[in-house]
Amino acid sequence: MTLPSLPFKNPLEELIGVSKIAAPCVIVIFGATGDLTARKLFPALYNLALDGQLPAHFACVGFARREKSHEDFRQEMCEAVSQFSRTKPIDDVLWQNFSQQIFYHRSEFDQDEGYEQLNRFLQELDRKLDTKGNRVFYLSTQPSYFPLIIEKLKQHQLVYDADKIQDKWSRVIIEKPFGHDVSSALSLQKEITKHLDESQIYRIDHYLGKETVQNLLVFRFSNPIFEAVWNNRYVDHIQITVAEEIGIGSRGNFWEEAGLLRDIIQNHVMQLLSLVAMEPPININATAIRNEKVKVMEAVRPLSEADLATQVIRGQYAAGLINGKEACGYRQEKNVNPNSYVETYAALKLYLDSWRWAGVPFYLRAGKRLPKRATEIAIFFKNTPSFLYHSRNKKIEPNILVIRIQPDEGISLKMNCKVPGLSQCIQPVKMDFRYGSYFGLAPPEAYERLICDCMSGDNTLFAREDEVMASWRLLTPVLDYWKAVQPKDFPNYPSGTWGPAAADQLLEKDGRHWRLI
Amino acid sequence: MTTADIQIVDIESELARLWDSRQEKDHIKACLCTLVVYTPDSNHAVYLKNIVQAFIEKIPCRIIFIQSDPLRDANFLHVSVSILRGGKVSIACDQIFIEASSSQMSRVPFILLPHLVADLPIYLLWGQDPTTEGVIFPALQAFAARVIFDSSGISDLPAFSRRMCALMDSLKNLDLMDMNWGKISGWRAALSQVFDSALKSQQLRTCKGIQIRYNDKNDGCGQHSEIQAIYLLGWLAAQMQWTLTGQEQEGNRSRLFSYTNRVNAFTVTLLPQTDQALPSGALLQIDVASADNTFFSIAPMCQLPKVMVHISTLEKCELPFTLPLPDLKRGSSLIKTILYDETSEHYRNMLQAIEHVWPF
Repeated sequence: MTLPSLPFKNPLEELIGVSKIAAPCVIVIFGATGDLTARKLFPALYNLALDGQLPAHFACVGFARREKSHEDFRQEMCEAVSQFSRTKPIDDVLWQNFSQQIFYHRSEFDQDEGYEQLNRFLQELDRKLDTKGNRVFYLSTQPSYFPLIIEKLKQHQLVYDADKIQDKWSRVIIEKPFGHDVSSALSLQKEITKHLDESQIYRIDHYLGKETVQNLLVFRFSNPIFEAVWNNRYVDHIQITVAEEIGIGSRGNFWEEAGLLRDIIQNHVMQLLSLVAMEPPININATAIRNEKVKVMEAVRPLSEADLATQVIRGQYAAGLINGKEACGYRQEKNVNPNSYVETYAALKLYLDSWRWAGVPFYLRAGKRLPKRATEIAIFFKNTPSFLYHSRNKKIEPNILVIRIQPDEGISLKMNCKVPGLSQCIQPVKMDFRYGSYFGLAPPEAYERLICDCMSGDNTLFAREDEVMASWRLLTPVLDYWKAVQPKDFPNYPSGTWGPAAADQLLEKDGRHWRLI
Repeated sequence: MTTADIQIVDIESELARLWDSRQEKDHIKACLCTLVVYTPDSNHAVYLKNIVQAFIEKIPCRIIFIQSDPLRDANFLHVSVSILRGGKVSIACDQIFIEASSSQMSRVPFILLPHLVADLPIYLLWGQDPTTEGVIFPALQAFAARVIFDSSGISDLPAFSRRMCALMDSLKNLDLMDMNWGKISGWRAALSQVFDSALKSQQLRTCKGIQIRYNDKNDGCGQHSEIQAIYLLGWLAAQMQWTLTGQEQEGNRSRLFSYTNRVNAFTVTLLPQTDQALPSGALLQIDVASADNTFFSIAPMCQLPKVMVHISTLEKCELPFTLPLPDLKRGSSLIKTILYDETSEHYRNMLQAIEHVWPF
């Protein structure tokens, strides 16, 4: 009787502190002539190459409709990387070597012959570069193309049946938005899961690749002092802000269809909410972490009809001043209906019905053309029960822990100190940790981390299907309500201010106010 | 900006004065840890200062730099302070520089103790074998989180190996990072990926010969340039369970090691070669000839953080491929290696394997 052979254990492999090693693969970027490829994806790939994080056997193929040679595409990407890379100047020797792994494939998204040719080309690359048949397909296109492209990929055997093929893999990265409401998200999910297993789908939300967002878990779960007070006994309320000073730019067409709730709240803000509110996972594997995030989404109290009218605020920017320069209103932007009711600002008050957070309001806001760019989570702690230091006229300031996601990444804690001297004066002060001050040069960009993780098969930092659906189930009623009830006061905040007055009143009626950032 | 020699009692006030001076107002003071650097060799101090500069560009910290000179008879103790700038970014750090004669070294632990930054890690960057320094190291090891040391100056490897193993046994809570071990981490990872199947592992185990070329450039620091090559050989021998049966040295300083792998006997040759563009001791090429006439050649690519791997038999050549080889001149790779990479059991295994290597 022959005994089954034991799996090979490499005696040269050291299993400590191992960085993720991405497997050999080819990345095909659909929509390669678009803005995202030039501004984010290729600079990310270049920096991964610079740091030795790209697999030894690697190639990148840009797939788009325009006529272009490999050399043309390489030259364009060289210019893009030179302009947008976080590390400059470009390393000529490295680029020369890296560019030999960049190719271009022209085809329409619905052209069968184009996919056939792509398949043959990728197989040729497998032979030349030993990429072992592994594939990442990055769909940097309009969401409406996702089902078509995935169907074609499956039809032409560019994506594999995950159950049947074990010696090579294929993965698809999908950019947000995943659907535009719950039914379209469900429909999209149904379409793509005809051809792909959930394990092959990587829904990208680039916020999850940010160092400071990843630090949220480390901060919470490696500092027991904070985890001990991270609950409704000590926390008064939490504010999550995603503020942008830019307007919609040239994306009028997109914005008229999407609006801010779909563009920012449904994904980025909900991700921050789930990370700040989640329970400790049982381990740091993708499944365990994502399970806890989904629980947060499911614990959010659905918004009633009355809540939709009172706990959700929308706004649209009017003309104003940003950084001293005049800025036009939303309705004056290019490709925007001059009578548009699309929101460029939203604020919500949510409750989580969980043991940890019962009774704690979560105030979320996001907006365009606000006074400054800032993304942060502010945790307001309850004030002291006694009034030792409260005077008749002045209350003690509450402690506030602020996690700054961008810019000026860091964490600060506001606390109270006695002013030196004979009197009993109390002064709030801040303990401040800044990434830039302590860790020097810029950390990897979000897309670098996310692309590397996808190549390594780690989907921790990608949104899972049930997470996405849960946030759509929560927010679709808001979209429906807004569609049914037109706002009477649009535009209702000047550019360069912190949003409509109604957003301030949302907190003021609870005796609170938005943190001045 | 550096002060002239100051009184020990004035260390903190002089640092404060430097920070308050006009020149430093544009810089942010940052400190993540205390880095205590020690060298008994003034030539080696230059090398360590370069490491310190690379360090603070990534991990700003308070530096306490201690330099002694056992060869000088004079009795002296000089202290000065300065502000070190972290390269292009506007971050700056304290440095306290202590220069002491052998007779004054016993005072140094008392001088530096009040200036260790509380609550933050203390790292020791030791410019010699830490097992042989008996004054400062014992005083600091209780506080230190990690000892990073340079074994390039060690002449008696067997003795070092025994002492280091004993130190590792006695200091279980202290991380030890031998920089030469760190410098070959990329090579170890590359070899692990080259010989990553049962067949290839067997081909390595039962090979008929290995050549390791290393850079014997003289960098003026008096360091032994073959250390990394010997470490790599020791690591392979330990992991592949080879037994050393003999060694000899040829006139041009090539060293031959005879091994047996229970199937056949074979030789590993360490070949010095001079490359002015690369650091002294850097590995230049590794060639393995298996018993079934498969030839593996691994060499770094010019100016790229990669190695090129060629595998061939008598009949055919496979397509060459590349593997990453972190460039330890770049800050983040260096810092990751010396500060965060754990030292695995492979290091101890390697030390035991080189216990019988002749001293230099």
